[in-house]
Amino acid sequence: MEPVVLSNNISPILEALTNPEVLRVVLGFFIFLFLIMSAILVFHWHRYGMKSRVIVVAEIVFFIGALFFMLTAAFSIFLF
Amino acid sequence: MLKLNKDEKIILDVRKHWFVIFGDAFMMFIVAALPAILFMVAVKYFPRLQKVNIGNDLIYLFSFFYSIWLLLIWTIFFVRWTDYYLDVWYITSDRIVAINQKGMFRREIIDLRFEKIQDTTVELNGIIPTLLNFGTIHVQTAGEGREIILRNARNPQEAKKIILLQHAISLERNNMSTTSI
Repeated sequence: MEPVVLSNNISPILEALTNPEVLRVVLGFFIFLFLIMSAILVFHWHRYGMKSRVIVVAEIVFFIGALFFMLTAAFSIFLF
Repeated sequence: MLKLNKDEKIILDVRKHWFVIFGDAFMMFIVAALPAILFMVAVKYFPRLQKVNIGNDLIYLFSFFYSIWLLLIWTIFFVRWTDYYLDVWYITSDRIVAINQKGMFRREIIDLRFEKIQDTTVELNGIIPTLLNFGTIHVQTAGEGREIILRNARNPQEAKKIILLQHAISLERNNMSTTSI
């Protein structure tokens, strides 16, 4: 099967999205959004969570999961 | 943060049943899995996609955007969970403190003393609420005709029993203090 060459006819947006530099900026933007949201969540958990063990577990799970997704995204750029 | 009076103790915290957040989690799981399923279907039925020349490997590009997508869903799920978990009624020895978390930036707190309670009712509607024991608790106050409601509360019968017991204790306490005067 012959490779399909898209580079001549894909739109500029698609072309930009396949550029690792742009992908790094996209990742940075989402990490920034994540940091804002996690600051709001942590504020609520600490202020209203009544020091519950459930909140502590939720906090650990939340940050481990988020770190995993961020690292996967970063490695994908590295391998791309 | 809930501030308790002197000698006041939390007897029970009434929260929403886990089934509520399970429904949300299930929906989010489907939304999270959707791009991966679509990608696999597309690659299976349009094998030429794998040969698309974008300069690099398509799978890593997909993996990047999919990770970002999962990070978004993950964060939204925890926002929903926080909303679910912080909706709570604290039944203390003196009162009911009903906290209603509405999104991240709105929070309603109602303090209701037991002597003001006129009626408490519990509703279990449907097969799942009956089997899993969750339902709506209504507490009506005397005079103001105000009502506080907690929907999908877990073990509502237990909460009602404790509210009625504390109501009786508080009436007895008030009667004793009146007669002693």
